[in-house]
Amino acid sequence: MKRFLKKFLAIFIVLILAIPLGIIIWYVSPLPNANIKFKKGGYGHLYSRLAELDTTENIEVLFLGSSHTYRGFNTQRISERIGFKCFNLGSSGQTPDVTKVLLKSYLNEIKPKLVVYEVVPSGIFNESIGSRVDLISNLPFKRFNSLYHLEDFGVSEFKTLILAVSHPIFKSKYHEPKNKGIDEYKSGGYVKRIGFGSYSKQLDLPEFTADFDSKGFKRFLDNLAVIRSQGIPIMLVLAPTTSYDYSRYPLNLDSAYSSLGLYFNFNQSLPLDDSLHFFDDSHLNSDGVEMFNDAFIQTLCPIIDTIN
Amino acid sequence: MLFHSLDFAIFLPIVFFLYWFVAKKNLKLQNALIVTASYVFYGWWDWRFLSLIIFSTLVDYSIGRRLKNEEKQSTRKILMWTSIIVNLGFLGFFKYYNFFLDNFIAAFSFFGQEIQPNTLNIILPVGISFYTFQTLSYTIDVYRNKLEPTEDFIAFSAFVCFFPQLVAGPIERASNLLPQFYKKRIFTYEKSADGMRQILWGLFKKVVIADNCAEYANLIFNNYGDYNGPTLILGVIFFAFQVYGDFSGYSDIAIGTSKLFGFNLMQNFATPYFSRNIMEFWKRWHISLTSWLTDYVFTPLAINYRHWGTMGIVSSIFFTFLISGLWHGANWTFIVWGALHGLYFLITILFTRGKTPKGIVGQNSVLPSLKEIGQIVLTFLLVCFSYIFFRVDSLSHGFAFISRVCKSDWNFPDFEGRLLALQIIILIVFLLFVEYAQRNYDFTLDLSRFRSKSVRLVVYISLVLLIIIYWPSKEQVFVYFQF
Repeated sequence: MKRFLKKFLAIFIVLILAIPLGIIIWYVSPLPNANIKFKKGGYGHLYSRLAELDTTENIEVLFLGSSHTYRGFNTQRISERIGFKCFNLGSSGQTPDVTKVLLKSYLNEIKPKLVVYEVVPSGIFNESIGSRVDLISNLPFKRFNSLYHLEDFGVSEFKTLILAVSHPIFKSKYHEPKNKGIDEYKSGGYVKRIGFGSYSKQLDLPEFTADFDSKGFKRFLDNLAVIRSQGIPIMLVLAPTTSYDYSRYPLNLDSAYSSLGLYFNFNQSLPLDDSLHFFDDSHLNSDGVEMFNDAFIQTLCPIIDTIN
Repeated sequence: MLFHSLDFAIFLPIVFFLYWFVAKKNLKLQNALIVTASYVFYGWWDWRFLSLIIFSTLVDYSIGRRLKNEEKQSTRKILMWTSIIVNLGFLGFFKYYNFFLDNFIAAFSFFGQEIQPNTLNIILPVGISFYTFQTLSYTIDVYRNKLEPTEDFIAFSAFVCFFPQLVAGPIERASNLLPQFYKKRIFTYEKSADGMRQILWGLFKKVVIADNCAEYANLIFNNYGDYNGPTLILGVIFFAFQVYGDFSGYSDIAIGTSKLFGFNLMQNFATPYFSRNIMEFWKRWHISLTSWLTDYVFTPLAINYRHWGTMGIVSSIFFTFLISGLWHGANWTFIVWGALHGLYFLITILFTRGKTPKGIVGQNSVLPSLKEIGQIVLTFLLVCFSYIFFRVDSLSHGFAFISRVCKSDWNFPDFEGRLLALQIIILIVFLLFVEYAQRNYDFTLDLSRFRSKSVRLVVYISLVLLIIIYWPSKEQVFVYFQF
């Protein structure tokens, strides 16, 4: 037994050193990156957003949620109109466990007067890892301790973490460009789709089912409790999506969200046209954002008055 | 609990420590620990279904004891049939209730009779087909006087629920596994090291080969209408290695884990894709199920219908394969899969006069002969064809898939993620190369011929690295859990 345990321990120690080294070498080598998911900057400018957040003070309204948030709320414009400083902390496919990490990391420092939580079901009921690896790839190093709150930390997240930690060693300082293709990062966390952009339905997507017993939804409820425990009011918002995409949403979604507090559904209440105001099956183009934000500001103003 | 989960990575060392350090000197305590650990392992998925295992254990233990003291043949027969009815009753209800009901309705509506049935939303308890067959073999063997019934309830419980093989086999015979619970287990370095090697190779097959093949097999099978013939054929090949990597990987981990606790389980896979005909394939693929069906289905049938002569043998073989198909799942697709193999098997017997190729492929040479390569390729293609029905959701899906293969254009395979798929193909070739090179050994990662410790260390580290690097972001459960 002694011999077995000694050898096992020896191999285990070698592996502790060899695995991170192997992952880094594989990543920087010309070998295809197989199942290693690490992307500084990522698809939704999360790196720039988190870097800006660390240098921004006196944020009064904090926006949370998925790409519907960072593509749907033009925080610069909203700030100007309501006279409250807004910041958009949305990220691609943001799942409630990722929101939890962001809250644990930033909420105490920011202490906003209001949290606007965008509740698109594909984010709230989601448990996929895409959003987690995006966060690990782009979270500032000094905030890595908050990753402790990330539940379901698996092998894929571990690989990303190794590369995120070692990134400064094998790559020089990273700078994310403001313009990436047809996306432009705006101060305050909003990402604008440059150009008109229009949408025509191409894919038949499956019906969406919301499981209110899922881990994702339970974590979402935990997040609401965390925010409320700090005495911060919450506004739940369902941002507009195309009528086709909206037809896939479960019918009981509105009643479920309404039971959780202040909730506004901006679907079907605005004169939005699928082909004119969206650039894909669920995201608003800049014209659509303008229309939506106008309506949102009208809804927000009375709430802001009560906070004041 | 999945073998490739963090839960199991914590569970296994705890049980190992308690087993060898705390319960070390007490055989009963060790067996009780195995029972407890196995119930925790199973209950991790859904504790409610533990009651089924416990009930099966109680029924078969009691019947075994009654059989010991019962000499009247008719009563013995009743006892055996009680066990069969109880065990197959559970299996039938949980696995086949809706299947038979749906077909019953379809048959009635065919004759113009509409009936309103009560379909139930039944959850299939994981591993029910495996432990049911295992407990059945005990009662039948005791009835046949081939096995002494046990008096030791804890040992019997441990035999029924032994966690390494509880949910996906190998389906152990009482005559092999049960006596191991009576004897003191001795820890040996060699056995445990072999166990670890087998676990490592099993993880490689499951995570690197099966889970990555699954991505492409799922993509191609679920959207078969979008792809050309060669892409669909590639999808079938990916599925062939998904099933093999998944199931044989599970068996390797199960056998390896058992070795860590001083147990020997039967071999379940022996390089099946190097088989030279279908008869050899079934001696190398899911060996524990094949031998179970041979002993408890085919042999009694063949004896019963021996007066039919050749027809009796042919019918028994074909029926056994149909049962094998149905065992895999409550769907006509599995029955067609079984029927195809039955047909292959009978045709092979006709051509070879029942002789399976001698020894293993390339027995006296480094490489297989051209004839052997031809036989291996043909066998693999036949197996792959049957996999279409194993994978699809319905017969119509299967026929549409085949029709698409035949009618679509024959350009180069074209699908999303071809670059990663190419890597997976290279890894499949690596798997086949290693399994061929190690075909003479008890298990693939037996590296005893390499004297150098550093060579062995490099192999282990490389495999662990490949497992980590190719670990898919989407978790895939073991395919055979659904059976």
